[in-house]
Amino acid sequence: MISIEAIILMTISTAVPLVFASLGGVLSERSGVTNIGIEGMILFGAFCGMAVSYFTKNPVLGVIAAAVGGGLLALIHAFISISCGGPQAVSATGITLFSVGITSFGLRLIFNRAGNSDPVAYLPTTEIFRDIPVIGKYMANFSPLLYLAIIVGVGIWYLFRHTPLGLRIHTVGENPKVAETLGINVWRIRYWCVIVSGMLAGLGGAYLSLGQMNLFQENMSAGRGYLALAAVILGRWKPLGVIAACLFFSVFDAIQLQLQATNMTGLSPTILSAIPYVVCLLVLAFSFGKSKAPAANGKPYLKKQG
Amino acid sequence: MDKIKKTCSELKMPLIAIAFAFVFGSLLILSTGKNPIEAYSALFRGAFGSPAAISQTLNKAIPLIFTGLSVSIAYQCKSLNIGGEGQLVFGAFGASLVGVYLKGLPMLVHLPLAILAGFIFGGLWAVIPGLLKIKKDVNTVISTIMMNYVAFSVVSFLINTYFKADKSDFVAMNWVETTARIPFIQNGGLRICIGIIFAIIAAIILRILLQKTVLGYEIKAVGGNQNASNSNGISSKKNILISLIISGGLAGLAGAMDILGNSGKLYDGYNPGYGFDGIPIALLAKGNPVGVILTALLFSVLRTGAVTMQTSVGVSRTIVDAMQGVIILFIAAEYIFTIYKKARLNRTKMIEEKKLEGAQ
Repeated sequence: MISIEAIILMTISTAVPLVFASLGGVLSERSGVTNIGIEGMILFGAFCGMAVSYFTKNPVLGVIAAAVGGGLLALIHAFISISCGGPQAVSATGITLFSVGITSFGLRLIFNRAGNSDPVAYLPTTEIFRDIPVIGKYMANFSPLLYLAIIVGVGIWYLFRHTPLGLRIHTVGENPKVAETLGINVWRIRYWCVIVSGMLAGLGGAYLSLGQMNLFQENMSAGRGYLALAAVILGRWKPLGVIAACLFFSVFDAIQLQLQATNMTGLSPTILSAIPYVVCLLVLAFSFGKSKAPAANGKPYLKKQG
Repeated sequence: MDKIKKTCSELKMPLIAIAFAFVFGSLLILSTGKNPIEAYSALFRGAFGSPAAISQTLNKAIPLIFTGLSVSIAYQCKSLNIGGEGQLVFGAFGASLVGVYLKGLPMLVHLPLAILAGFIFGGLWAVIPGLLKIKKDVNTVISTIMMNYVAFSVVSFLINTYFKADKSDFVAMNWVETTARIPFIQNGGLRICIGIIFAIIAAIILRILLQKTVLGYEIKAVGGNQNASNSNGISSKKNILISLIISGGLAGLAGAMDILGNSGKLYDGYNPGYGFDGIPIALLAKGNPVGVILTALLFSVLRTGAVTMQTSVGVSRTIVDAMQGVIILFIAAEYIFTIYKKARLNRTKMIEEKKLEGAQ
């Protein structure tokens, strides 16, 4: 029997890393830099979080380390795609491959084995919400990172909606030349947007290794970074739309997990696990109208040579 | 003379990238408390130390050449196909289907058919990302990677259900008929798959395609500047789609070579990673098909040797993955050098013009 309640709860909890990563994607792409390396940054964040929590026994430090780790990888991507004007998809692919290699290597270095790490100290759930009537018992089971994701989502929505900084980022992503004549430092804005996007992806990783689980598995990001970027397209580069798109993908993930658990279709788990990706491709193929990316997205901006 | 000079300058950056990757690798090795020189010598021993090792290095290069070519042709058209792994798995499935279920054919018919099936299945798997790109402008990186996950699931599902071997310890398809197996050349300790010749031929064909044919010219024109080529009557959409299909087909061939030559049987959960290796291989060769042969050999040396390094020195072979990432990042950053060079060129031009003005 499939329980609607279980699907809703699972949808919310599987959406968290996607939401972090795709909000990062929004920030970076709105400023004009595609960040396909998010996948690698999630993985690296998950690893850094696990490692720091393992050595310090403090999961909060782990979460911070995850954000810093994701941000550092993003800094490399920023340097290559902004300062060097290099091909962004190539740089991002390099970041992801590098991340896969270095995390697997680090895992063997610390634990002397492949596969997964030892269990580490992980974030407690938000028991403080338990006394809230009706929904309290559900809320108490979620990781605090879920609430952080909501705060970040609202924050980024507010940033683009109501602040001058949001407008500047928008201008940089649409028309960097105009932005520069307005006295905006295009490179600085892009650097920060990319770095913060990496930090958010890192937080998504922390959720995987310290929130949902209490250990690191090789390749545990499992394509979430790419799903998150698809959510950015589907949500039309708007924070709230993107969050909705993440929930949409997560529903299908939750359903397939439930189908696997209850084994009622008799289909093998391998074919069920493809459902979210197939849905994603279908949605990209049949979404009406042409989704419009920020005009300068993916195009390097070269400062005038003095 | 100029040609040699040009080749040298083209080789400079890839060599720097490789050197840097090795330096980075030694730092990783040092971090484990091992000696990098010892580790690297184990690596090269593992790749060249014996006739068996040399054979293995050459044989492993076969799928790598194909996936490298696959990424190259798409990249010439400025799409980054990172779905090579899914196309490879699908191509391997297609090749095994023909290899297992067509019976009683002579080898001269059966083997080419099985290889062709690999190309067709791989190419088909790239059609969807191609259409998404030209119809909806969906980033190829995202769509091709999604297709990877779908390919793994679908092929695994098919092997588990309709095409399962009758008797096998593992979930797998039946053995490929001997008439569809790629032969090996044996001489002393050497045992080299004929596939290496196919791979070299494929590289040469691709080079001719890119250098001497209208299609190649158009693909490169679209890759260079889509707007300009559109206004010159070259359809960017058509060429993007064609290059992606050829790219998928080549990845499918990598899978076909691996199954028909190397393993002889498609196991459930097959994803050897060659598709992903194709990305640094192609980028390092700058999309040049002949260069791909060399860089694929280099990666084959790394991959084959890393196993020996792991067993004899105890350094994990995953450092090769990290080194590959470093190589790509370096290639991506290379732009900065070309930009500085251009800036310097412009400056000298300006100075010369000023001098001319002064003279007048």
